[in-house]
Amino acid sequence: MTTAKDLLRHEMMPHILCPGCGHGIVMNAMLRVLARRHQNLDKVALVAGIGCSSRIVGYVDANTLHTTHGRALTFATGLKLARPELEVIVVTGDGDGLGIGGNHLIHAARRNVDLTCILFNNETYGMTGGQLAPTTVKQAFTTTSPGGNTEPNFDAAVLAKAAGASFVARGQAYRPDVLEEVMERALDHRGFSFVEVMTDCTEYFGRKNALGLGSDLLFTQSRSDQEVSRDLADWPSLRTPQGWQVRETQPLGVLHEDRRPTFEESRGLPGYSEREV
Amino acid sequence: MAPRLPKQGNVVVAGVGGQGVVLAGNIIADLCLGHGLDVKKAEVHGMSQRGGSVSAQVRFGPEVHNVVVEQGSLQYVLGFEWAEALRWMPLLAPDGIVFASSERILPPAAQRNRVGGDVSYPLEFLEHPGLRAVDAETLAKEAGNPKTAGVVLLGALSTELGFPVESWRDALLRWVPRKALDANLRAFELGRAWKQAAPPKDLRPQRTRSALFRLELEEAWCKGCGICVDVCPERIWRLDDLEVARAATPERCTGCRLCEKLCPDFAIDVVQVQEIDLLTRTGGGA
Repeated sequence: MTTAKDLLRHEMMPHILCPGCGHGIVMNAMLRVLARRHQNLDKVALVAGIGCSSRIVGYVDANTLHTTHGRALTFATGLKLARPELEVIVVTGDGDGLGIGGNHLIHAARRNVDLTCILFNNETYGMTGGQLAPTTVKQAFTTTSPGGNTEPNFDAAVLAKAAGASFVARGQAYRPDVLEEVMERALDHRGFSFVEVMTDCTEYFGRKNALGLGSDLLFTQSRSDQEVSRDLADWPSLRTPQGWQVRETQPLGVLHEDRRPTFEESRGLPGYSEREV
Repeated sequence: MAPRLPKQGNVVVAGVGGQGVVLAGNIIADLCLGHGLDVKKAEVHGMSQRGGSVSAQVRFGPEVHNVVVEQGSLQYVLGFEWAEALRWMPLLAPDGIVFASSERILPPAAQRNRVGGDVSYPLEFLEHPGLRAVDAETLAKEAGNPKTAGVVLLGALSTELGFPVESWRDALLRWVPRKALDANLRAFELGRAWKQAAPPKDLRPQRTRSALFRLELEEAWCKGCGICVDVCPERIWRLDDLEVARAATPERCTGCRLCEKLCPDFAIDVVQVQEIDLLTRTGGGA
């Protein structure tokens, strides 16, 4: 039986992710799902942009494509149209997919290209030094919002659904079993499948917001913002009348699913049926 | 044949927290009150949320003074869990009857070592003539809701206790949640029907095998984040002086794979090595 470990490029390991980084957990879950579905990843293409999350494709022994910042979905669209038999998975982060590449995300969703997009949402730009991202929640501290973020943040899943994604789900690094299930269903789905995964940036987001490191930060995903805010009560500058909003209680699981013609189907493009699911 | 109305009697409902033991006790008490009997009911619950012992004693008759069933006079035991039913065997009257669900839920104390081999159920009661092992779990699933296992046992009891079946249904109607009423009524009928079937010969636990696991660590990949240390329910992992994870008590691994799944660095592998038989404590194949 293929295991997640069998799908790694062992000569590249250990990976560059920081100790306790949630991305590794999500990658682990993703590879377990792929290991259940494939003997090897010769028929799977992982496409990534720039960022911590995008780095993980370098460690997976599949057809991998490390592209320009924010443009993973555009490369993936081209790849899927040229090689429809491949299972194309886009691995992107919140800065990559929603900040720089937000435009590409909404149009890939609108076209309903048969891709699976896994968006690692760690609420910050981790690789470049912990700057404010479009997903950083209000009040949160980052290197570029030393007084707390004053802007509202994106809800990536709602955005993807509004843009026309035919499958939208959300998972958490803290709940790997739920994550595996939604990823499995996202891969099964024909059309644009969008999975937002809440992960953690330990070095920047966790540290700046006093959420702890490693397991402490991971466990905050299971707690309500009231609980986190109670723990932070001795840090008065973080308290707001609305309570601490860093860990919003978000719905998990499959949030939206419908079956509408994919980009390939509506154009009658050849080769589509060759893909083995 | 009109059922004879019992003049007096006592029933103990035993189970673990969350199974509806108190509710079942209420149903029986309500049923007896409806027939003009005096009823006394005593419950033991409290530190029983999700998994601890819960019991309800119901005594009924023309006049009841003592709430507690005396030793050697217990007529009926309704065991929602196998071991909880067996706890009441010493109080049983010589002609007492025990309806015990063959479902097994390990008590929290036994979970201090859940690896298997250290956990066994008392077998000496298996030969007791009054013991009826009901596969209530399966019947409840058949009824459409696994939570109705208790009502399956009430159905089985109803064939022995002798109140009219309409009174039982009325009592169910008054007490079970409305949205689960259909499933409960089906479960009750399945329980009544069960009595007519031959009792199962093999009363041994269905799940008698447990697995042993080996923990493998890719040392060079571990970054010492400590997630495995904090997530392991058995507290197996420690960080050593070099901030590398070490399995301090690997023999306690139950194979839940939380550490493997939550390790961001692919450093931990949980490998199943062999199965063992819980009753004979002998090992099986790898």
